[in-house]
Amino acid sequence: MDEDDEAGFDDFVTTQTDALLRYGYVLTGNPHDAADLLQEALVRLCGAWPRVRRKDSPHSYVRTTMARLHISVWRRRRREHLIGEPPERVHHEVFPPDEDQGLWEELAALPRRQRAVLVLRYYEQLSDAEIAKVLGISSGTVRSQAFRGLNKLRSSLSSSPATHRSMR
Amino acid sequence: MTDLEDKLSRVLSGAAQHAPQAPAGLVATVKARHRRRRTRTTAVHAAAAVVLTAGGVGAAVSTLGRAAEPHPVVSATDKAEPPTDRIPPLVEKVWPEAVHKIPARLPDGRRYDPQLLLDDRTLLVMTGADDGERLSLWSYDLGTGRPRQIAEIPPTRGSAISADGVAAGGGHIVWWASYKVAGSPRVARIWTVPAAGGRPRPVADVPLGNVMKEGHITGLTVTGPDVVFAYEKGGVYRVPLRGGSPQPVKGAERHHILQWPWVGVHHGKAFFRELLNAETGERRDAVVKADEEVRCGVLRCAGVAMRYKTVKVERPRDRSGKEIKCGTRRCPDTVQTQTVLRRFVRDRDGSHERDLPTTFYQGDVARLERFFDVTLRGPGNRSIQTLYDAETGRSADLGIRPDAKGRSTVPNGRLDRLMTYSLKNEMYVLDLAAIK
Repeated sequence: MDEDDEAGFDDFVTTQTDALLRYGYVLTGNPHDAADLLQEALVRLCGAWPRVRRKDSPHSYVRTTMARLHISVWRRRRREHLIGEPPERVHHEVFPPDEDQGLWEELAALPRRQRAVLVLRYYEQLSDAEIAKVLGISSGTVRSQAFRGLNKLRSSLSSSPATHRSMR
Repeated sequence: MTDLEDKLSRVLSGAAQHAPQAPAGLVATVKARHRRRRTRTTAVHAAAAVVLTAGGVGAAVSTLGRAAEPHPVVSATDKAEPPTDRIPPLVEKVWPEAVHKIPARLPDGRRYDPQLLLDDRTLLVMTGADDGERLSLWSYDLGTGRPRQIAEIPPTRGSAISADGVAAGGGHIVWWASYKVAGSPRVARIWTVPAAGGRPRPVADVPLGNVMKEGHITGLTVTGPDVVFAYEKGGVYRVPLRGGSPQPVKGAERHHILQWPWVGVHHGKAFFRELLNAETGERRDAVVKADEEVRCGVLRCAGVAMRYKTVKVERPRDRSGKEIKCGTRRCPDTVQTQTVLRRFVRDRDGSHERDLPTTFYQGDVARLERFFDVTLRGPGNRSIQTLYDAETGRSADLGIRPDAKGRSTVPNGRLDRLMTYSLKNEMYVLDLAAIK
C-alpha cells in the first residue's frame, strides 16, 4: 500500500465501521461474531485494497465477504461440533420489546444461508438479483431460500402462543 | 409487504441498534493482523524453498473459516491447518450409471437451463434466460446429444416471471407466468404444451393478490387430465388441463404440495410431519420427538435433535481488554446455546434411523429422500461439494471447486431424480434414479 492507499483504507474503516458492525450483528445475531466477522473481512480488504479501490467498491467487497464468510463459518462450526467443540450457535438476549424478541430468536434458528438472504433483503434492501450476486447463488435459490425462511418464521411464530397475537 | 416482512425489517433495523460499538484501535489491529499474515506466508515460502517442513508454522489467527475466500497463499501453510476431510472419489467413478456429461451449450451455441428428465434419456431444457432472447423449451437426447425445439414460450405483457415451475406428465408440459395489467391484481397464468411439440395454450389464470404477502404458486404437477398447484402461502387447487377455473382441493385448503398426491402443512420446526393423500384421504403421521427439527418426505424424515440451554458468559472484550458494549448498554451475561445432539434420517414410522454427516445441508429435503448435499473441507481449506447416499452410506465428490474468488456453485436442492451443474464447458446431468 502506498500512502494514498493507506489513507484511503484508514478513512474507509473509520467511517464505515459502525455501519458494518450493525450489518454484522444482524447477520450473525451476536456481538462476538459480528466483531470477529468484521475484523476478518477488513483484514482481507486490507490485502486487496489497491485492487478493490480501483475496480470494485470496498463497500460491497466487505459486505459480500462478510456474508459469505458467515455462511461458510456455519458449515465449519457444524463440523467442529461433532468433535466436541463449544456450542455452535449462540445468541444474546438483548432484545427488549417482547413482541420483537420472538422474531429475533426465531431468526437465530434459521439456517445461515436463509438468514443471510433475509438480512440482505430486509435489512440491506437488496433485490433478489443483487442478493444472488452477493452470495454466489442463483436468483431462484434466493427466492426459494427467502420463502423457506419466511415460512419457517411464520410457522414458528404462529405455533408459539406468546407471539400469536402479535402476528395478526 | 406482509406484516411479517414489515416486522422483519423493523426488527432487523432495531436489532442493529444493539450492535457492539467499534473497538478502539480497529484500524491498527486490522493492519497488524494483515502484516502478520503476510510475514507468516513469506516465511513459509522461504522455509519451503529450503526444506519442505512448514508444519511447525503457526495456524491461522482467525477464528473464522477461510473457505469463503481463501487467502491466495494458504497452500503453503496447509500442514498447519486443521485436518481436512476425507474426500470421496469423483461421482463418475462412484455412480457411472447416473452421470451424463453433455456440452454446456446447445450445438448452435445457446446456453440452456436443465428443467427435468422427461424419461431415462431425455432432458427438458430451457434456453433464452441467460441470453436475453425469447424463452424456448427443448428436449435434449442424452444419447445422441441432439436437441429438438418443443415450443417457444409466449412472451407475456407486464410479465415479471415468464416461465417458472416447469413440470411434465402424461405427455404434457406445464409452467406458469405471472403478469399484471394496470388496475387489476397480479395473475399467474398456467400454460401447457404437448411434450412432443406444438403451440402453447393457456390453461387458467390464477389470481395472485399481493405476491409479497401471499407468494406465487408452486408445486405445479400434471396428474391425469388435470394440473394441481398450491399457493406458496398454502392452499391446493386443481384445474383441468383443457382449461377451466381452478377449484380448491377438499381437505387441502391450507396445504403445501410435497409430492402429489401427498400434501401437508408446516408445523413449527417439523415440515410435512403430517401428510394427507389428497386423492384417497389417507393420512400419514411421522414420529417426531420434542427436541427434533425435521423435514419429512413421503417415506422418511431427516433433521437434527437440538438442546437449548441458557448459560452464563463472560462479557465480550476487544483486544485491548476493553468491554464491548451492546448499543448503549452492557451486553447480557447469559446466552442461549443451541447444541446439535444428533443428525439423522429415518423412516416416517421412526424405524431405520441412521446418522447423517455433520455438514449435511439441512435447508433442503433430500433428493429422492435418499441423497444429501454435504460440504466437506478439502486441502487448502477449499470447500468440496459431495453427495451422500443415506441408503448405502456411499459418497461422491461432485467435482465442484471454488473459483478464483472462492465461490462455489451449489446445485439447487430438489426432490426428484435430476441433479445438474456445469463445470467449465460441460453440463453434468445426474439421474439419481439410475443408482441402485
